[in-house]
Amino acid sequence: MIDQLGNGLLLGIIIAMASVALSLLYGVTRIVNFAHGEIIALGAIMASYFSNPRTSRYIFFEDLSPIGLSFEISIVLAIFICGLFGALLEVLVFRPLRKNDFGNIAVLVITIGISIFLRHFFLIFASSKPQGYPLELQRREQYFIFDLTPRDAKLIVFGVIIMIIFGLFISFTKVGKQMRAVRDSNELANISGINSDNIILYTWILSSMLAGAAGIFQGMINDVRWNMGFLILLLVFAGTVLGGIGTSFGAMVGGFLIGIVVQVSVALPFMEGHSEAKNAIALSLMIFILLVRPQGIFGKKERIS
Amino acid sequence: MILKSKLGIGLFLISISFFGVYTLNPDGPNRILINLLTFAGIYAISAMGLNVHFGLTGLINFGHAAFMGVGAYTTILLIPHAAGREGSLNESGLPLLLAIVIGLIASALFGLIIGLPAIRLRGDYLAIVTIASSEIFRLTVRDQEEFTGGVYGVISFSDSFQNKRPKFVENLALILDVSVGQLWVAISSWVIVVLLFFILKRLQHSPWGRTLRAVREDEDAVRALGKNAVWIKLQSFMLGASIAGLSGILLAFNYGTLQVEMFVPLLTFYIWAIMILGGVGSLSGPVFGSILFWSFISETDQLASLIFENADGQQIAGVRFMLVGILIIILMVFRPSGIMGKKEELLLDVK
Amino acid sequence: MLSNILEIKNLKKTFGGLQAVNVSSLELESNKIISLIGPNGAGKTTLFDLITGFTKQDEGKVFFNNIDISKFQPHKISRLGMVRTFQLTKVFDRMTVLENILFAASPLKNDKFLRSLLNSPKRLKIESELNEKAIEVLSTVNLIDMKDSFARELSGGQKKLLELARVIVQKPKLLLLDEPLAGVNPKLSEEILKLIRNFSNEGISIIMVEHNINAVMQISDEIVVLSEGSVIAKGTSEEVRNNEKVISAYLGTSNE
Repeated sequence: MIDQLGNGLLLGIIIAMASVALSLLYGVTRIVNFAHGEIIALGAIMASYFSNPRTSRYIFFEDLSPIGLSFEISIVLAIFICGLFGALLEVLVFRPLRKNDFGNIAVLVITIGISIFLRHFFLIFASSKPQGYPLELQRREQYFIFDLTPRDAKLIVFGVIIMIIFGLFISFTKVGKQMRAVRDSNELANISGINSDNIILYTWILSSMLAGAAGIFQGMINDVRWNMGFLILLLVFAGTVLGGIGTSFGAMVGGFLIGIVVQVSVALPFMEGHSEAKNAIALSLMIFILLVRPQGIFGKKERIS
Repeated sequence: MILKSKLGIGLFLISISFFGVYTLNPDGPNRILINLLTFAGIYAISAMGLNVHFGLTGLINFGHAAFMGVGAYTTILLIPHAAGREGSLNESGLPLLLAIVIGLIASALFGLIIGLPAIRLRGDYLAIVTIASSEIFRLTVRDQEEFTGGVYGVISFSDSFQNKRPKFVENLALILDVSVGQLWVAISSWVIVVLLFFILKRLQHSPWGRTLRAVREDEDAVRALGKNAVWIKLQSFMLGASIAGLSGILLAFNYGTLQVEMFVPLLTFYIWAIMILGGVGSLSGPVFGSILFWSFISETDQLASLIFENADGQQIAGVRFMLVGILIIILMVFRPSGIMGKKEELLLDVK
Repeated sequence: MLSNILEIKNLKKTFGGLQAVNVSSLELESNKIISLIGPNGAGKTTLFDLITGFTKQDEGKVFFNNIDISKFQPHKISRLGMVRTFQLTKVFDRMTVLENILFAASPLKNDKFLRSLLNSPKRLKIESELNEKAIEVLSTVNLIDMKDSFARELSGGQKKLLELARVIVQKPKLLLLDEPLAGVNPKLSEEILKLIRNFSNEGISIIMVEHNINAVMQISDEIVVLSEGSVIAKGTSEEVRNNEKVISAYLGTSNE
């Protein structure tokens, strides 16, 4: 089991980032965004498109070859594009829906439509073959008790740093505090003069950027695929539910735990030879938590039923 | 009066789409049409089941694919079949009708199992739990290769069904120049569609149906009037799941193979699109929605292969799915009541 | 012989630090019209929710006709004969007025799935009997003309009438009415009060939460005053009207 802990940390930090992003969006806008997975994938695919050399075998959109920029610049560009995409979604889709009083269920179904559309757009754009980044292979080494490649270890560290920066942002900056105010009560926030339209826009941008980063990380430990977002989406839901609604910290812990559970469960005795079902274990855990403690570990007691 | 014009619109749209199919497929149009009608019928049955959940009772079920899967796997594994990589033919099995009945019961039971924890949850949580349960089902089936054939699937089971085929079907197939096996599935499916339509029509206005609709409207009032809202919802879940199971069985017989990847969440979203397109809560909605949906898909497949020349098969299918996504969005924004839905009975909370 | 239709012992409920209800002892006689009044936020609806099982109490017991219903679920309590209405009307919007009543009138045995699936003559007979009952009740509340309209098309006052008709068709022993006159015009209020008096004359015990003090004084056999979750007065309208605690409770809150 200890061998898997390293992988667990890795997957954990990725799902944690994605869960925090989803949880923030839901908290502020009350939207369950089924297209969240596609924003995650967008980050990875953009990073792949920008960073792979022109001569690589990757093809985008029939015969577009990748751009061949440095990996660092590609990451920045990819995250920026995700943020931009989130902003577009809000301005072009969700704000008009909000202004026209569309109910939560209707919006949920619309996010499903967006998810299906985007995912298959990626299929056409990035082909059905798995992709990656132009990074050299590394060997695993021992970091304390964890079995990781140096890059993996860096990812975990970066991920933690990103989470800390996010935490500082949401707790201490003006915009962050306003986001929390809207999350806790939209009416009160409006009364105290907060422009909720702007806050919602910033939330979409922040959430999308964070999701994109998670996607880029995920692309480093697994392949970059057109449907990679969908594969991970349910685990991200699980992390958010497990951690609790209305709390970013909860989402982070929940996401982390789900990642660890997924990887470590492979080592359980009855799972031998059944490693593919590891996601099922994590999902079952989510359902179990919803039964016994529906508000999650850290969540406030909102009416779940 | 209104119904007449809506029926008229529905029939008009269907005629146009059939016309489209014939035009885009100059050789073998009958085969394409029967293929379309078979899928349309099977998916209509599934959508009728989902309509019981969401249309009648207001339950958001995103795990419908699993109900179809449970029905299919239970029945197919009980009749003679060959499963897994080695695929040795298991000659013994139950009579088809008995296997189907057990399959329906299994789906209902699965509905009960998923319903028990899920049914008390609020809409968006119910959505997540049902889709998670559906994935747990799929992953488990994929994993348990000894029983279910895992990723290799199950084959060689169609005989049990095709043996029941009456003579006239064979003659009809010759005349129409279509596959006789599929024609038999098509006819069976549509007979079931018609039967289900009348059964559900009776149920909808019956005392039992009233309890479901009342729960949809206001659970608290239902409880205050002495009725157990949770049990009512569970019954609804079981009935809809059972209907979905039936559609899953037919789906398996249509393909001739049973693969776990048939029962992915995308299948659930297809059924949702059909239900919304046809009109949530409307009895005939699933029928119209399904036929239109499948015509739309088969036509766009043709268009896609014309537009994208270098694309591989998966990418052509990608166009189809992209359009499904757009369809869902456009429906929800501009016409959430679908073709046959009544505005007064508008269920999706769009104001 | 007068007996107590409802007995409450030591009922307490706290919501996030605020004591919403704290009733140490309350006994209500059957066959009376009892009004529950008090300033806003006094806990009247919470008390209703606790009694009818819609909210779980922190501690305490509730007895209905000597049966301990403290842990019962709402639908079970309703089956025993205690039926309630809601402050914000909960009619079934997308069902017709007639269907609203039919739902309430249909006994559990009749609601069963198999019975609805197989259209036996017996079931059809029951359905027509239910229809008769429904039409009778709708005539009583003067909604018979709207019987085929969707409930969502009714005016606010008509919805209140529909809710009344729905609970009355079940022939309850105890009726809990939560603000039956809220937002209703004076003429309709008179009608509703008349109906309530008629129900009482037919032997139904009635407890109602109401802000319309005139109506309360007119119709009640007994008045219970709630303030900040506790009972501060209980008696006839005369006794309550002159009770100092009651006066200060109302004056102590915002001027109404």
